Amino acid sequence: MNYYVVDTTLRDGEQKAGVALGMKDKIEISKLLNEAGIYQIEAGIPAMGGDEKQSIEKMMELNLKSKISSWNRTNLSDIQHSIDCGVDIIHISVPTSDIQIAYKLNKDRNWVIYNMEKAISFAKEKGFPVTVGFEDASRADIEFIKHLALVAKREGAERIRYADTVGTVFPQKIYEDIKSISAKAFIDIEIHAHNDFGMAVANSVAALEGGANYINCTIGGIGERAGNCNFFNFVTAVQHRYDTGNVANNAKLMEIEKKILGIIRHGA
Amino acid sequence: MCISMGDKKIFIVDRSLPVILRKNKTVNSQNLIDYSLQLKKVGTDLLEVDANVVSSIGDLPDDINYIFRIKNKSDFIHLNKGIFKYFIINFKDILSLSIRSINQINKLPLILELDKEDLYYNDDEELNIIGLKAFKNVINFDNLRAIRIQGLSKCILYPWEKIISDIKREFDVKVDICADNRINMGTAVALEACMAGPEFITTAFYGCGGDYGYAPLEEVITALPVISGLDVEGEIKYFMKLSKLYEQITGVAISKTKAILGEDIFNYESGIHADGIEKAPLTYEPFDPAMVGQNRKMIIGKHSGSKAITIKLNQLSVNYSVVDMNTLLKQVREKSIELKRGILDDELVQMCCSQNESSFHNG
Repeated sequence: MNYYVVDTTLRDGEQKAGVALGMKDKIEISKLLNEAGIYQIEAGIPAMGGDEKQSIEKMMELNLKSKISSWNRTNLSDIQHSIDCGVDIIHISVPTSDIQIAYKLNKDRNWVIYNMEKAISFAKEKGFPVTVGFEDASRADIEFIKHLALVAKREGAERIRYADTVGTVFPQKIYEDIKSISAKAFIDIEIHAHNDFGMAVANSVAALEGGANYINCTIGGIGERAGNCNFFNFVTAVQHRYDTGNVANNAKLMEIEKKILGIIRHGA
Repeated sequence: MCISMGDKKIFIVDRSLPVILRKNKTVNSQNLIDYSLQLKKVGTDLLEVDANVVSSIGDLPDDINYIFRIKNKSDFIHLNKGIFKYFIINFKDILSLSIRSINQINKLPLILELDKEDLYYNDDEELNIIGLKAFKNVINFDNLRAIRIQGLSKCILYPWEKIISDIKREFDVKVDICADNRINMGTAVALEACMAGPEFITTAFYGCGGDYGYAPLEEVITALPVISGLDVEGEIKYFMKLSKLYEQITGVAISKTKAILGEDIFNYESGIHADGIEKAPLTYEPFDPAMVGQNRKMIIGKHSGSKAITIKLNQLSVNYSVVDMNTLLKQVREKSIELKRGILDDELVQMCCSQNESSFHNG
């Protein structure tokens, strides 16, 4: 079963309350992730400015094999900061559940669609590949998600991300949702799972089987609340489920994981 | 507590006690009793025990239901105690008993524990009919009440209704699902199996036990009302108290990021999340922390925005009228990166005071 890992240790992982990485930490971690063969590194949020933005600029200078992406809210100012960094991929996060649209944004679905279109166009006109994250997709109306996927594709987005933002989805539902989105929009799909009920790995495996072949992981599963899909656990879960695997490679991954966790705890 | 699914009831089993005792031989019997009572309080219907647990505790609390595990002949001294609702034996352990011994357990209310691979030929779930018929001819217990299936680590997206229906058809018994956590999918397996309506779901507090751990009790019990919308009895707000007992008995600290139990899981820091939680906690929380006896806590750190910092300063009753927020934000970020952690309250107050003093002298 083929898949691409999008590592978000440097973004969602670092959002775990109390985790704080400096520029040197982020650069060293990005090199280790590159060494681990990670397809894409979600490097952070350039709109934060300062060290955060500079660290992403520095990362681009390394010319890593891993693609470097940046996380943005659905606003043009955020995206401009990402453009300044010259990242490989611009990721735009769009709140999609009615809870988030009403309470976080105090807007409506039409506002979300309109601003998503604007944001994608802005980045695409500047020549950047775009992925769009559907925040809280697992609690959103699936018909709205499918519509957003179609719009995102029409605007030129390369991929959409199905985010289980508060970790409340379960394998059967995510499998059906991903299949349904894929059948409607014919767009690459990424899965972002949280571990609030210990199901991040299971949900990521189910999403993979539903057709999402980009998998968000973090090293050690660090992230908001009970964390994200643990990279090493996901790799070994897939190996066991499909009876595949490369033990030698696993040993190397464990070593890299240990080094990265050391940097997170003690600094580079 | 049991789970209600329409007319049907599903009972929760916890099998952590024997494991705890195997790893911690000198546990105080009162602590074990308190732990057992707390397991019942949070919603466990049946506690699995073995000879070791029975010997250690002495008088088992009589308002709890127990399943006694038979491993070998030496366990038979406990068979007639009259305090166990069920007895459980693994198929492989039956094979090592004499015919006479099998006869002795024949009339007991029995749960037979089997691996999935004993029931099915392959991953296509083709029932091993020939093997099962041979097995039923050999083991024809008069009082077989349930079959517990384990070896289910991979079984998400699984045809549970078919599996449960197969077992009921072949054995005319209740079904107990026991998922292990070999590939970190135990809770998902247990939850999906639950929706197909077995009579029992077997878990273990903090997932302890077996070679790989079992579906954690706390994850399954909390997921059932939140995700599956099932009615559960039991008071899951006592999970934190149960955690403390577990730590006291085992000397093992619960991981700070463990789902449901971790002491840090309701901490939040990033500006976007802090803003969302202030407006409506359910934007970024799967459930109210109080539901499981926890509290949410805002941490000030690298990802805090000015709004979060002003909220914190108000909570601390700090006068920040002359504080330059951009400077303070920068200081917070730099200090957080330097210390590799969030900023403590007194550190934040000190940063404000430094600005206040500076402003006073410059004024």
